[in-house]
Amino acid sequence: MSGPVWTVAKKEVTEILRDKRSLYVLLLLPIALYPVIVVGTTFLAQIQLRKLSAQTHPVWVEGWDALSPELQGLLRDPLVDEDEAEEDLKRGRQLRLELSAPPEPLPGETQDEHYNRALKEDLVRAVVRGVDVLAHLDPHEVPPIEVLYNGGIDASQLTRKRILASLERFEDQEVARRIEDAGLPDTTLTPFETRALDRGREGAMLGRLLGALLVVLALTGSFYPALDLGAGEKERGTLETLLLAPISRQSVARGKFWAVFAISLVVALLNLVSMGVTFAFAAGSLPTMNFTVDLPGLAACFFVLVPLVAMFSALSLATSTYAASYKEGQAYLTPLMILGTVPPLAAALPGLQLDLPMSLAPVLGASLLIKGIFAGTAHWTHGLLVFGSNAVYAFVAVRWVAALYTREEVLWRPAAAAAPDLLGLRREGPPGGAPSMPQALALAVLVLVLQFFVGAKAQQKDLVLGLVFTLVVLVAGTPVLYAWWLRCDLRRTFAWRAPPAWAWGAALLLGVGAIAINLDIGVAQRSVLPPATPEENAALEQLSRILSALPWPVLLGLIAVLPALTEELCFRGFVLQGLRSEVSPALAILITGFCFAAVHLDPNRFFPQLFAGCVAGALVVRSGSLWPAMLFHGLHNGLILGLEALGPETGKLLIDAESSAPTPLLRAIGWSTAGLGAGLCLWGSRRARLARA
Amino acid sequence: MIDVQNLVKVYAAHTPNPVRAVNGVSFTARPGTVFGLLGPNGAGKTTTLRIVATVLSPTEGTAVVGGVDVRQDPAAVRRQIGFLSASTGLYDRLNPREMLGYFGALYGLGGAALEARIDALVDLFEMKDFQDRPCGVLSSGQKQKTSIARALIHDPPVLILDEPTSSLDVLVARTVVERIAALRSSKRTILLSTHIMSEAERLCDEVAFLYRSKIQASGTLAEIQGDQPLEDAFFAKVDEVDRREGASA
Repeated sequence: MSGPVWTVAKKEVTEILRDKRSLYVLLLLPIALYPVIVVGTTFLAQIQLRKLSAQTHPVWVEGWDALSPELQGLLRDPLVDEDEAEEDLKRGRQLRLELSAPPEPLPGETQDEHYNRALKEDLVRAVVRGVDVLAHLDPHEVPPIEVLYNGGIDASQLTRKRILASLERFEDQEVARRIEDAGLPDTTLTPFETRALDRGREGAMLGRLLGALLVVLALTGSFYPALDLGAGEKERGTLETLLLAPISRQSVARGKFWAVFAISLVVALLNLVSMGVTFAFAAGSLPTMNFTVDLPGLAACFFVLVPLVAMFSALSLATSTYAASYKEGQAYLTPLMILGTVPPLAAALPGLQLDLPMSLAPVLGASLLIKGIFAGTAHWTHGLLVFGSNAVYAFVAVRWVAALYTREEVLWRPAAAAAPDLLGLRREGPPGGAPSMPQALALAVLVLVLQFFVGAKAQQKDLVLGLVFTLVVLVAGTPVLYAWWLRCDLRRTFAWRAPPAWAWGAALLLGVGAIAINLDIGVAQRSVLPPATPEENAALEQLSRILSALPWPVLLGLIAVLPALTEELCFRGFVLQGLRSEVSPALAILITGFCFAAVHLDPNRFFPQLFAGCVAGALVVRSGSLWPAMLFHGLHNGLILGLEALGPETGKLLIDAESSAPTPLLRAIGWSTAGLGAGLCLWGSRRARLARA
Repeated sequence: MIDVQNLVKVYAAHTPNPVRAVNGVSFTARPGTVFGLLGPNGAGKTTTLRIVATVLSPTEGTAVVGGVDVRQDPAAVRRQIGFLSASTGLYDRLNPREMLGYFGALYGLGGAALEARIDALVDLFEMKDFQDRPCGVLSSGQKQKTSIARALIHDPPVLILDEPTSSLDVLVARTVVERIAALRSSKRTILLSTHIMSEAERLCDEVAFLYRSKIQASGTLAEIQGDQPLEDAFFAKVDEVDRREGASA
């Protein structure tokens, strides 16, 4: 760490440590959390169970008054087993029941309606039907006994358990009597006994949840310091003073990163220590908290958390730096927190195992590794992979933060900036210009929602008309209407101007070449992510059948021409132009590509669509016109149709039928054509820039 | 010396909605003088000062501070500059002494030299009584004193003051103006932006009117004023520009 970086980091840590309220939350929360979890959850659950056991629970039994005293006693008497007092409590065996015949239903009410209302209003905890058959059981029949209860009420659930336990005991006695009557040995129904012996680490299930909690808390530990050092510094107006010092902006960014990282790492360490100490004491004294983790396990977890915390510190700082104020920073960090919480929770679910692709997945890999450490199944090679990949992500994230501190549009957004005017209600300034970034993102979300709720329904009713409606009205109509309402300059908003000649050539070459690249991307996606489900394949086949029945010109219009016009208007027009007002062209292209891929609602083609979206975006940014992107899009879709229409003999020259990968011939043609197109695009735009200069 | 030539700043230059905040601004501020950049809010004063201080980069044109171009070696420019703005830019959880120590370290000072410089500034600005209290609890006058001391920690030959009194009450503002007047020296160049004409009249040797992102008039105070108050001269120029640009629009 260089001198200025150290100076900045030391001052930032000092300032954070002097904010006592935040310090208490940051440091005391992890220390108190695990004891609270252990003591709180265990004792609260016990208190609740004891409270329920102390109450009397009304139960209606049909034909209660006609039951023999023996059967009445069977249902009424608690089933206490001194050796399993704890288990009795959980299964409700000690519950005291107030048994009676059901009262008369209200006038006009059926018996079932009567029971349903009583259970819903908690007038009764359970209703038992058919219990009178126990008085005269026939060995050749299996008469039903029904227990009606309300699953939404804990006491009703527990009452059900209590009644079923009584009936099971009676059932055991009846079976034993029948076996004895038949002169069979006691072991007739148990020819052998199965024992499942868990040789894994004790408390693996609890370990999963604790692992997820550990990762979530380690990640969220960076939020407060990042908010204070990024958006907080901008809001307080001290950033300008700091940037006037004769040190590089990267040094400022790195100093801030190290401060956030140091605080977050201490929070993560406190989490680990608190967890280790809590469960070391709890083990043995609380039977439900039988989870233990040894010192090497805790050390391994810390090892995993170091790059993860570094990555999140950098991401939080970058997100917070984008914000102009503390409040805005909180709004931006909330989605990051939700995104960071999903992988640890997913890792806690059964089924996900750590393998090579998972090891490389940000956050998820680390969460799975910690789960493995707690379960005693982690392997050091996975550990190195997770550590290495997260260290790379952290490095990239730190570089991103450093780059942000060199961008004026990020650093000098006004702190008192008003909330995004998504509805265009303020109508500030003269009409004209392109939409803002929030308006662009709002449109992308709106189109996604409309596509999901309206477009998909319309296409289910009538595929062709639904598709036309979706593309024309939802995908193209919405942005045009929105731009008109916002009083945007429509030519600017939709980049509606004649492109330079080279852009047509580049679009043509890229449209031809992108087919092979997209097929390769599709193969790569399938090798990493789960393949399409049989239901998805069946739906796709049905779609192909319907489309292939259409005349060629209609099909071409529907799949190539219409999407090229409408989707480009929406995404490379409104969304991309709006994003470009606030983020770099590369990031704007990437975000637009994501929106474009997401709106297609097809996870199996996400990455190919992302790639195609990015190429179209690059064409628009480089040429300044939407038209080449439309040509690229239409050509790309049209060629896909063409490939599908080829006979099997011709088709196998270009595409491998089994893997859907391009053949070497198509790959050579595609990649080289796309390379030429990209080269032409770069050359043309560079020449235009030089000419302008 | 500060030499600014044909300075242009376009915000969001590569986006569909560019904003031209400074449009061909030129002026020269000489050592031993106070140069006033006068104009209403939004005229481009702060943008111009930020470019001179290397916080923002110019879209076109040049700014040279003490013989160093802001594009060529921004760190060397910053070493020569002390910058003071209306927002004092103090860290609430540091005390004035720590503030001075922090910025001294960032300017490459250290050890006994830094301590001696801090002591000298504490004495100069009479900060002894509050030097160990967090900046967050200081009065606005104490904050502004700390802020001026922070700008002077490295004894810069160039001082840039961006609306230094705009958020202060009248008594504190008067004290700050007196302090600025006391900072004049034969080797120091002071560039002051303000929209308070009485301040400019009291402090400046030369002034430039910045309006609608352009310098509309510049010269010595006497040349600009003529026989009328500076404020009247300013409004006369504003009216003239509005008429001219309104007519051309």
